[in-house]
This record gives sequence, structure tokens and C-alpha cells, in this order.
Amino acid sequence: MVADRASETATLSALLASFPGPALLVDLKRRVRAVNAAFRARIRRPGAMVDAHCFELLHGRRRRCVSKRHRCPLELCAGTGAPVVAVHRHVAEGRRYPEQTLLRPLFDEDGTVVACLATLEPLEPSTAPEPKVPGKWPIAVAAVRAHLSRLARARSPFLLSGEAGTGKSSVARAIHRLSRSRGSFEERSGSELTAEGLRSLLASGSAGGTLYLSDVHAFGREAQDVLWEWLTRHAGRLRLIVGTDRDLAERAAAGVFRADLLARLAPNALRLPPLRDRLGELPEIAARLLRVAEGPGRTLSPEALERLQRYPFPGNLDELTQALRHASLMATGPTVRVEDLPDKISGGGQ
Amino acid sequence: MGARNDRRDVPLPQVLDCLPGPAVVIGMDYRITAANRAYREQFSGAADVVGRHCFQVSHRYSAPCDEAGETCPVARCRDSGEPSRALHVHFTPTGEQHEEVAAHPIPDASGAVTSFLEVIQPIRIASARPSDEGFVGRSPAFNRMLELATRVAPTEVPVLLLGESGTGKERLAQAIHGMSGRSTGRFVPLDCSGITESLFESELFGHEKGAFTGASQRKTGLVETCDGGTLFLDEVGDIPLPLQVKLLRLIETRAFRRVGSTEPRKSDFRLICATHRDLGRMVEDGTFRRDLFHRLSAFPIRLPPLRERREDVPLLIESAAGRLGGGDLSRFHPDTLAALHAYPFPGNVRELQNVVARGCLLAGAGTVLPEHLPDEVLAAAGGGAAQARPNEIVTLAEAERRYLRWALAIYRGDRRELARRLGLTERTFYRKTHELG
Repeated sequence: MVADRASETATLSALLASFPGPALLVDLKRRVRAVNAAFRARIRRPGAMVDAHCFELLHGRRRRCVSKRHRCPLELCAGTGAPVVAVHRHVAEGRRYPEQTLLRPLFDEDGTVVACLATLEPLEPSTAPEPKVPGKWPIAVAAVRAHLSRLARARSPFLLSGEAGTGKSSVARAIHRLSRSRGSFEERSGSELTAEGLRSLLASGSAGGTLYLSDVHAFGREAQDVLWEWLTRHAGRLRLIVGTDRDLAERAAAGVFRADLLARLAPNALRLPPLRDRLGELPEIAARLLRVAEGPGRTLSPEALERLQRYPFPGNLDELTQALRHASLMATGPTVRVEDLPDKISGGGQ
Repeated sequence: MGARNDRRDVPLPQVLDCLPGPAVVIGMDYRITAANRAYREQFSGAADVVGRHCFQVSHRYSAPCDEAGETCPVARCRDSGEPSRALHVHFTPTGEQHEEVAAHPIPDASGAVTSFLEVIQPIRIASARPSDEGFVGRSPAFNRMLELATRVAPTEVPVLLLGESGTGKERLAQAIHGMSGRSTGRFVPLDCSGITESLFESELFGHEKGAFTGASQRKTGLVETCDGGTLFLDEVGDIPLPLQVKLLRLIETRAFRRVGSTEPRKSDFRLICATHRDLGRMVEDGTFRRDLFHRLSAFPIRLPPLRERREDVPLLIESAAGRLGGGDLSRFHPDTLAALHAYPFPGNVRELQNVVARGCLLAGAGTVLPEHLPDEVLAAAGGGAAQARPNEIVTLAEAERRYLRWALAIYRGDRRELARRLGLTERTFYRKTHELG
């Protein structure tokens, strides 16, 4: 039916591309005739996969599998002419994973089995809940790298400001890590802490560690007094970082935030830049976030990148991450196009 | 097996048979060159389809889909060289059905695309014909919503459903849950409107015995209940600011504490939220946290109000009537249908269902007349067809307009065919329907 080998491989690989999971075609000589992209991503092995032996790719062996306990499922499938399900430990990235393998026989006109189509289903535990914003922290930290070690060495409390989604919490964590503090890192929001809660939190932190108080603008007068009192008298080992996405100077001028508290925090303030001030880095940042979310292989079209550069991103890195995640769900091929982006960025929609 | 270098050709149609759904290979000229068993069974009663045009087999069209006003994934795939997907309404043995069509390019040895693989996946949560369960519709706005829901359902991505009341937000949330890998887990809804801070916290996280006055029993919270399942927060825009940070923390860490307990617990859930509010504006106004907004709105799906999908009204009327055992559209007087068409339905599908149910009840076994409709529907229809009575004399032009409205409302199927049945050329037909507004 297909005369040319290369063309057969191309056609078969294209057909396998539509299988949702890893799939490969193996002939009765245990030669791989075609694999799909999901299989390549699963095995992650350099070199050609077509024409390699299945036992090399899946088990890392040089010879065909011989085992008294497990019969080769290919042999079983070809021998019986019926589908076979087997659970095997396959090698991927140097580790062994249990996988359910379904083999289906393919027959020629005479009814002899010529090859088997295998689909793999990893039996790992289901994907863990997603991390906060994958890949975000190195990007956030990169913007203020020059200041980090100084702030980590200095023990005085300081203020982290920056719009929502610029990575204040990530930077606070990075500083905690750099400080080699033995205590733990705790993060609490000013909008949920009462003055009493804050007092006991500060008292319990005398053992050390880092306390990151986000939304410090949300503290009422009483909580501000508690904070001020602690700042003027503190001798404990607790490192305090406060964060806000508002303009505290404006609040101090309006009389809703203690000016002396702000003056105390301000000398050590660190401001995280909004994404729209990092436009030059955007192609790199977007590519990186896309890679973290999707693995290698998916890229942004120049038009899509241009739309991203034109969008103001009030939600900064969080919003960019969500936009890219949306795009990679909508994209059907390796390239993310303008229409795959959320409507607010692409300008499309109903 | 013969000589060492003897390579046996792999039979392509059998590879197609291994795919779970219908699949075909289509040439550059839209002619089918190979089809699997599932495709033949669905579209041709198991007869051979090789050599026929794909659009003829699946749509009964006489021209490619993009020429008939639908997106053709094959054409898009040909233009871009990359896979493409589209949502179509296909003819199947059980009637018309929403299906997702994915086209993949098949290159030859030199890398040039010479044919396409088309894989079809039915979408079971919606119906393109009158149905008494699930979503009903086939308008572009409805199909877009369906496409987005189908795309996001199998993932773990949080979904934000945006729509007016009565558009079916909770039902769509349930449908997404049903299509996800968590469908064996629980679907746990919580309506956040009008809920107090303390109640919200104990509902969501549970509480220990004696945690507060009145907590005489230990209570398991909804977050704990939906471990392994889906948590649906309806009217998420109504959550007060102090609780928003607790919700944000929950989303970020998947950990929570029962009220009155210090022991952190974990729960593995997928979050779906819904609101009729403009959260973006609330962020600007400072009443909704921006960080929470971006966490929730990773994948917004807009549920179109009924006034944006008027072409679905006949289907919806018939479905609503069918739900009551009320038969088909022929039960409705043309003027009744015209009035229903003219009414904007601010309460959306839910209101339409109520209006139709009331009409059917009042009409008993007889024809549903305009007088069986509520006053506001008739009032909104204005001095037009709705107030006409069957024995009233109207101009022929008006009668033609009414008849055309009625025909459009009840006719199932291809518009070309309807034009033919009306004795009109397609051009005249489209002009006349356009004039109806």
C-alpha cells in the first residue's frame, strides 16, 4: 500500500498523533515503525526512535526481553491475534515507571498479524495539585537580583511593594532562603489578621524564621500600633517582611497609615517592577512560562507575542501565566496563535 | 516472516480502527481515502465511503463546510500546516449531534502535506435537537461555549463561568465535572450569595465541636467532602473581602483548617466558580482581590444570554414542551411562536421553560395560543404578530412574514432545503429572512 519507507513512517506518525496518549507501532521483528509526540515526550531519549527495538526504548535493554514470569506482550498479541493488556515497568528519563500497555494486532489481507499498535497509560498517582504559579519565582526574583543578598544579610525589617502578581511572596521566600535562617517561613495577610492575632504571631516568632505580612495596608490602626511597638522594641530573631500593592505614602498622607511606621519601613523598601516595565524581557519570560507549563516544543507565533506585548497585564506574572495556560489548552498544534489567547488579549470573542 | 529486510506494510485502515471514535483520511480534494469502522457505522450505515466527499457524508452539504458558513478544520489545517479543531453539528444515526472535529496534517516523505486525518469526538452534554435533558442549542454563541467547556473539562485548570441568571451556570459546571477525570468524585456546590463570614468559613472548612457558640457537633466542611472531586462556588463575586484571602490561600495551598482546629488538612479538588458580576470592574473598585481574580479566571467561559442565541429559541421551545410530554412545535399557534421570538427573555432559558410550561398547561390538549402567554411576553412583542388573533385579517405581506417566521421556527434541517420547500431561490430566501430582522 505504501511503497516508500520514509513516506510510510510519515503517514503512520501522523496517524498516531491523534491518539491522546503515548502510542507506538511495532512490527513482529520488534522494530518500532512509528511513534507519536506523546511517546517521544514520555521517553525523552536522544536519537532516532523509528527502527529502534521496542525493548531498547521501553526497557533500556539490548536484547529482547526473556522472562519466565512475564511473557512478551507482543508475542502474545501476535500469537493469539487478540488485544493484550499488560502492566510493565518502563524506563523513562532513567527511572522506571509502571505503565499499562494495550496492544492491538494489525492484520494483512490474509489475516496474519503484521504489526501491533501499543498505547501506554502511565499508572503514576494522578497529578498533584498545581503549584501556586509554576515557574514564576525565578522570573520575579530576576528583576531584583542585585538587591537580594544585601537584604538577606541585613536583619532589619523591610517593605516589599509591587502590583498584584509581580511576585512579592516569591521574593520574600527567596530572601528567607538566602538568609539561611534556621526558622520557618510564614506568610499571613493583613486583611485577615486582627491586632490580637498579629500580636501573638509576632510573639511566637521569637525563635527566628521569616514572617511575611502581605497586604500591610489593610491593617487597622490598632494592628499598626502593634506593629510599630514591635518594630521599636524588637530584639528577637524573627525577620519581618511586609508587603503591599498599594501606595502607602498616599495612605500616610491621608492619615490612614501611620507615617512613622512607613518612615521606619521605607529605607529598606524594595519595589518589584510591573510586567509592562519589563517588555524587553517579555519574549523570554513568556517562553519560559510556556515551557514550564507545557514542556518543550510549544512556541508563540510572532503575532501572538506581539499581542502579549501590547497588553498592559494589570495582573502581571499571574495574569500572563493564566493567559499562556489558556492558550496552550486552546492551541491545536505546536504554535500558539493569536486566536488561542484569551479574548481580552487577542481582542476577539463574541 | 521471510528475509531479514522484509518489511511488511502496515495496513492503514486498521490503525484507524484502533482510534476510539470515528476517523477518516481525507485528500486535498475533500475526498475520503480511508475510513474506520466507527466512521462508517456513524455516517453511512456501515457502507463504504471511500471516494465520497467528507462534507457530503457528515453534513449532507453539497459544498465544503467553510463555504456553507462553518469553520472547516481541514481547510484551516491545510492553510497552517498544523492540527486544527472545530465544533460541528453532524448527522448521526440518532439525529443531529454536536461533535468536535480534529484535523491533523499527514505529510509525505518530503514533509509536504498530502492528506488529512480527521478524528471525530461526540460531545454528549449538549443536544442539537430538541431534548428534554442536558443543554440544547446549535447557535454559534452556544457552540463556542460548548467548545470551551469541552476543551477545559479534562484538565485540572480552574474554570470561571460568566453568565446572567438562568443561563445554566450550575448545569454547565456539573457537565464539566462529568466530562473530567474527577467524574467519579463528588460535585459539591456552594452558593456564596448572602452568606455571612462565619457561616462561609464553617461551611467551607468545617468546625470542631465547641469551636463557637452553637457548634455542638463536629462538622465536616465542603472542601473536605469534595476531596477527589469538584468544588463549585456559585456567585463567587459575593464573597466578602476578608474571606477572599482565605479562599486564595486554599487555592494556593490546597490546605485548610477546620474552625477551632490547628491541624492543617489537605484536600485535592478542582475548582469551578461562577458569577453574574463583572469581576474585572470589582477589582478596579477594590471590592475583589486582584490576585484571587487572576487565580480564578484562568479559563473564563461566557454563557450567552438567550437574546444572543435567538436561533436556538425554537429548539428550546420544543425541548421545554417535550419535557412536559407536550409534543412538538405544531402545537404552538404561529402567533404564539412569533411572540416568543420577539420576547427578549431577560430570565434566559429558565424563563423560557417557565413560559412554555405555563402555556402548555393553560392550553390543555389544544393549540397554545398567544393568550396562553404571560402579559409581559405579549407586551414586549408589541403591536406585532403577537396580538393578532387567528381570525384577524392582515395584509398578505404581513401574512407572509408570519408564515416565514413560523416556517423558520418549526423547520428542522438545512436552510437550502427550506428555501426549496418554500419555492424560493436561496438568494430570495436569505433576503426575506434578513428583512424579518
